[in-house]
Amino acid sequence: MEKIEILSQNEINLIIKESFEINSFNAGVDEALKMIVQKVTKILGVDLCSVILVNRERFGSDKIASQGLSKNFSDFLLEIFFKKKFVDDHFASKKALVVNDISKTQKLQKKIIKGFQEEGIGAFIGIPMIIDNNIIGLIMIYANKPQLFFARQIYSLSILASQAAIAIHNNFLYEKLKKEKLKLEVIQDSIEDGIIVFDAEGKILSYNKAAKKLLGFKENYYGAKRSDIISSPEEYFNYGFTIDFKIQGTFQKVLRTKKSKSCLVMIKCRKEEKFLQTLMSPIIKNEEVISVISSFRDVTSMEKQKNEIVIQRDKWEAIFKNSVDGIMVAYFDNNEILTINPSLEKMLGYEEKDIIGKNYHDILGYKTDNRGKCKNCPIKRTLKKNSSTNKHVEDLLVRRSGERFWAEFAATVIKESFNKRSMIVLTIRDITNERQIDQTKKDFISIVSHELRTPLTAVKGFLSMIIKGDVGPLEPKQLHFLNRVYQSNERMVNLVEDLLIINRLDTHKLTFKLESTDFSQVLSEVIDESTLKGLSKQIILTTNIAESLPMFVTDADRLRQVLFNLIDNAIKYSEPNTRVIITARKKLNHIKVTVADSGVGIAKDDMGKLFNKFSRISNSLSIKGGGSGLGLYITKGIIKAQGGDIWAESVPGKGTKFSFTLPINFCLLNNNNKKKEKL
Amino acid sequence: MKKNKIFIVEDDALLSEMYQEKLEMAGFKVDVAFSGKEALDKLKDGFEPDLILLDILMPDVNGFEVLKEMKREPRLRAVPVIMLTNLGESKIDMNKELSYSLGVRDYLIKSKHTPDAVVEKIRQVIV
Repeated sequence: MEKIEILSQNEINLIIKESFEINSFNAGVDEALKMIVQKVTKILGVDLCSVILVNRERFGSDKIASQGLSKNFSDFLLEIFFKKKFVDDHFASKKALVVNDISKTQKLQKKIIKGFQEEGIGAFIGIPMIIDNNIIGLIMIYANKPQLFFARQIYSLSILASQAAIAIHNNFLYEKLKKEKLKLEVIQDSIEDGIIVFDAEGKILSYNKAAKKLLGFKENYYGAKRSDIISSPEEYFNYGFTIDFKIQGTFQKVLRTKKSKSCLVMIKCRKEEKFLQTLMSPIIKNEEVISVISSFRDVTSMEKQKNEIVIQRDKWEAIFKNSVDGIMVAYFDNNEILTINPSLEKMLGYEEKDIIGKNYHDILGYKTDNRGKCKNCPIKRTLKKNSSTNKHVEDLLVRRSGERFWAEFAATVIKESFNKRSMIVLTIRDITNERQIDQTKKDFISIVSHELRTPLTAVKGFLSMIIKGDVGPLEPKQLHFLNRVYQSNERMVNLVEDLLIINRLDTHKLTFKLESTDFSQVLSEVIDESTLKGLSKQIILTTNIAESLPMFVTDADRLRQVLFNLIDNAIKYSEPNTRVIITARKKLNHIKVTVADSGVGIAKDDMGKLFNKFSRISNSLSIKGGGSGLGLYITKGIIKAQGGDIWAESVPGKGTKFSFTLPINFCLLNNNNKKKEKL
Repeated sequence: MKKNKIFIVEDDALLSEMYQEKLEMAGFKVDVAFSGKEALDKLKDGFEPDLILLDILMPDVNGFEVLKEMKREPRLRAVPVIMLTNLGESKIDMNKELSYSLGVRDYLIKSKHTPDAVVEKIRQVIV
C-alpha cells in the first residue's frame, strides 16, 4: 500500500524555510504549538492536524493544538495520551505510526478506533517529537477516508517533527527563562538600593530602577562603559552630574583582590550633592571575575547629619578646650570625673589623666562619706531644685596644693538618653582676683569715708561756731558766704554718710534694729522735720493713714530715713502751691505706703534708672535740687533688705507717685501683742 | 561759781581744739588727752573731771578699754561719760550695750553734731 516518492527540490526548500521559521519562533510553548499546526497543514497540504505534548514531567501539563477537529476529539486525544500506554504501545520504536484504514486496522484498541471513527477519521499518521531520546509529543495528521499516505509526506513530517521538537523545547526554555528574568527584575526593582552590574571590562550589563533614579540615568545605558560614566559624565548622565573618582579605584581593587570593597562617593546631580555608600562585589567563575555587582545606597541625609554632628562636636570641643572658665564633665550617679578642660587643669593644678574616674567632690575639696556621697555639696543642692540650673554658686574650693580659693560655679545635668548615663557639666571660675578687687574697693570706700568724716566734722564744727558768732560778729555778706560754705560741707557730710550706708548694703552688713513700730508716729516725726522745708516752697504735706494700721516690727530709724528721702524728693520736685500726699494702708500681708506729688514728673526714659546708684535725672528742678543720686538707691536697698518692694509711677508735668511695701510677717497686730503680753 | 571740768579724750588735734575752744567759751574748764593711755595716766594721777568726752577709735588704748579701766577705780566709777565717735553705726550698735553697761550717758556721732549740740548734751548730763 505504501508508495515511496522522492521530495522535489522545491519541497525541500519549503521545508527548510518553514523549519527555520519554526526554529526561530520565540513566543512561548502554546503559540509554538499553534504555529506548528499551521506549518504542517501548509507544507503537507492536509486539512486535519493536531500537535500534542505528552511529557507532563517536562511541561507541567498536557497541551494540544488542532486544526479541523472538534473540541471533543481533542479532549479524547488528551485522554488516551494521558494514559501513556498508548504512546508506550505504539511509539516504543520512536517511529511513525501509520494507519491507512481505521476500520480495518489491527494495531489499535476498539475503544480508540471508535473515538477516531466518531470524529469521522478514516486514516492518520502519528509522528513522535523527540528531545534527548525522550518523546515529548506527537504530530498527527488525519484523513476523513481510508487512504495510502505518501512516503514523502511521512518523510516531510519526520523532518518537521524533529524541528518542532527543538522549537517547543526552546520555547519552553524561553518561557522558563522569561519567568525567571521577570522574577529577578521584580526583586531588583523592589530593592531600594541602586544596583548596577558591570562586566569585567566595566561595561554596564544591567541596572535597576533605583539606580536609574539615584544616578539620574536618562536613556538606556546598557553597554555604556563605567570609565565613560566617570570620565565624561555629561554624555551619560543628566547635565551637571559628576561622580568622584573613588569609584574607579574601588572597581580596580575588586578586580585585583576578587573581594568586595566599599566606598563612600559624592555625586553632584543638578547642583544637588548626594552621598552614596557603594558596595562592589565580584561575581567569580572559574576563578575569574566575570562581572561586578555594585549597590549604591543614598546616605545623603545620614551623611549630612554626621557632618552636622562633627561640626557641632568640633564647635563644642573648641569651646571646651579654649574656655577661660574651667569645665568638668562627670557621671551624675557616682560623681566620677569623665573629663576636664585645660583651664580647669591649670586652676586645680591637676592633669586630666590624674583625676579621670575620681569623685569630683574629693578633688574639689568637699567631704564625702564612705559611699562617695557628699551631703552638703552645693552643686547637687542647687540641682535638686531645678535639674538644669543657671544659678551661680560661690564657694571655697581647693587646689591640688591644698590652697583654698574662691570659685563661682554653675552646674547643668545632661539627662540620660539611649541608655547613656546622666552627666553633670560643671563650669568653674576662679574668682579670687574679683573677690580681692571687690574687697579692696569696699575697704577703700569704707576707709575713705571714715577718714573723710573727721576733717568734715572739724569744718562743720568750726564753721558753726563762726556762724553763731562765737568768735565775734560777722558782716552780713560774710555770714551769707559762710552759710554757703556750711551748706556745701553738709552735702559732703551727707554724701559720706550715704556712701557708708551703701557700702554696708552692698556688703550685707547693714543691720536692722527691729522693734515694734507705730507707723503714724514715725511719719509725724518725719513730717515735723519736713514741714518747714515744704512751707518754704508753699507745699503742704497731707496724710491719709488708715486707722486700722497695725503696729509692726521694723527698724524705725530706717523707716524714718525711707520716708524722709521720699518726702524730701517730693518737695524738691514739686512746683510751689501744690500738695504732697502720703497714704498708708494695710494690704493682705503687707503695709503699702505711697508718697504722691504734683510735681514735674519723670520722663519715661529716666524711669528705668531711677533706683540706680548715682543716677541723676534731668529736669528743671533736679539741677536746682542738688543731691548725690544715692537716695533712691539706699531707699530701695533698705526696703528690699526687709523683704519689701518699691516702685514709681509718673506722668511728666503731672506728678510722681512712689509706693513701697513692707511685709506683714514682721507685723504684729495689736491684738496679738496683747495676747502675748497676757501669756 | 566753780567751773565744771570736762576731760576731752580725742586723738585728732583739730577736733580736740574745736571742742576745747567751744567748751571753754561755754564756761567749762577743759583738759585734754590725745590718747587712751594719756587719759588713763591723767585719771590715775588723781585727775577727777566732771564729765569725760571720750573718743572710741584711738591708736593705743581705745575708748572702751579706757572705760573698762575707769570702772575698776571706785573713784572714777561715777564720772559721767559721753562717747564721741565717727565709727559706722553698725559698729556702734554692736558696742552700745557694752558702753551703756559701763556707764555711758550718751552717744554722739561727731559728724552729725555741731559743737553747740555737744555743749547742749553735756549740759543735759551734768546740770
